[in-house]
Amino acid sequence: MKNIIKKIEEVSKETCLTQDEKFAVRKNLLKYMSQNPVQEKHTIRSPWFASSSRFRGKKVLSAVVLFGVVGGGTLSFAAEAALPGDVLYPVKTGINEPVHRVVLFTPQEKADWDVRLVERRLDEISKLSESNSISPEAKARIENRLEIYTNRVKNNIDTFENEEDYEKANEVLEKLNTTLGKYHSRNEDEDDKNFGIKTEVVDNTGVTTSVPVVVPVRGIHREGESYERVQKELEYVQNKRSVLVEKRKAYMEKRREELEHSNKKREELRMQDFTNEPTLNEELKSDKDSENETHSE
Amino acid sequence: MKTNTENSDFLKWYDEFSDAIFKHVAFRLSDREKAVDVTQEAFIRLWDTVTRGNRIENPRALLYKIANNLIIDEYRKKKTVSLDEMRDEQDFDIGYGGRGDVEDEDDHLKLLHLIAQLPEPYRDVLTMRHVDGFSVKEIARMVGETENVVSVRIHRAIQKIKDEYEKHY
Repeated sequence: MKNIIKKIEEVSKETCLTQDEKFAVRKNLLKYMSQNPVQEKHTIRSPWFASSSRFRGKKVLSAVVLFGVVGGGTLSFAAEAALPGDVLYPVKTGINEPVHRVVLFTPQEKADWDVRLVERRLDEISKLSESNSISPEAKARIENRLEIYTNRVKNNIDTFENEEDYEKANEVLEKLNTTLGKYHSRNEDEDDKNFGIKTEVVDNTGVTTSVPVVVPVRGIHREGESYERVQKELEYVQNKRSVLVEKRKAYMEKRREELEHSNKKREELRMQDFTNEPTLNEELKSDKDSENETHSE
Repeated sequence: MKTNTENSDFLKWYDEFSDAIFKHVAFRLSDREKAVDVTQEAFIRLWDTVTRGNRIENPRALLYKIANNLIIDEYRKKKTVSLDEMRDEQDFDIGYGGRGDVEDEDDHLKLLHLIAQLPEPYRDVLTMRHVDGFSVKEIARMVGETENVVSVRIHRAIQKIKDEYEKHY
């Protein structure tokens, strides 16, 4: 047994490629290698991945971020046209609008944006009532939002008012007035279309009179809560405007008084200074006195 | 630059392992000419792996694996050649190194004849154990059998050669 194993090992030791074979195979391999060179991987790298190896694991992450930025932008852009009940409507009110408000800098800009929000809600109400596709829940929600935004505008006006910045308060108020007025007149026009139609009625005395045909108003026109709210807000605007005018007048009066007062005071001071000023004769006299004193010494 | 190092690495592997691979293939196929071809093919496949950008940790193990697959391909061709036929052919000189004396040479050829006639599973493990010098554990892992099975096979292979040797010569 041992003998056999030893013999096998001896044979295996002797078994090898001859020099010629080895050389021939090597030559073939070299030829094959030159025909099939190593593929240079990652030789041209994108400048965006300058240190590619560090970012390789983060490519997926960057893709997600990129998608977030691009996709998010597209989404929020698409959401701009959404109406209550649409899938993207929460994106419009929950993301787009607060984000827009955050990037605004001055209180004035923020106040203007709040007015714009009221306008947006009113536009949505109009659009929905036109298509008659408003559900009661959506209507309630939108009216709730309208209330929130108008209250916010009112707060802004109050803030300006407390700061005695009546110019700005008035500006915001007028913007609110324009917005509300636009909606109001739009509904008025709608109603006028119906109310404009008149019919001839002959009464028992034989006199013919034109009487407007009463057409039942649909949707939220006139009888809608938002319409009532707009009317209420318009009343608020009227009241506030007169308040502001009064306050502004009082403020101006006060300022004028203050100004007059300060002018008067300045004048008095000046006069006082003038009277206190030593006259030329006195000066000369005092100089002479001092001279005399020195001489006497 | 990178290509150059890969080229020189590969040539280094060739110089280092070509004889061992050839020996392994030659014993298992019992055909010198085929063994040279298979050895060359094994190195070509190894180079292909390199060019695909794979990092090769253990070239020796990979070469044996490639060689093993190529040998199995050859087995599938099922071309049985008797040792006598091969002996008549000029280029059958497996084990011929020209160093030993004539008697030894004859003895070795007899042995090779017997190994060539062993059933493939016996020949494979015998080659791995006594030609390549792998441990039983390594062989067991390579052929996918338990160490016990491998040991038994090696033992039986040697027993068989011994019996045949005594019977015929």
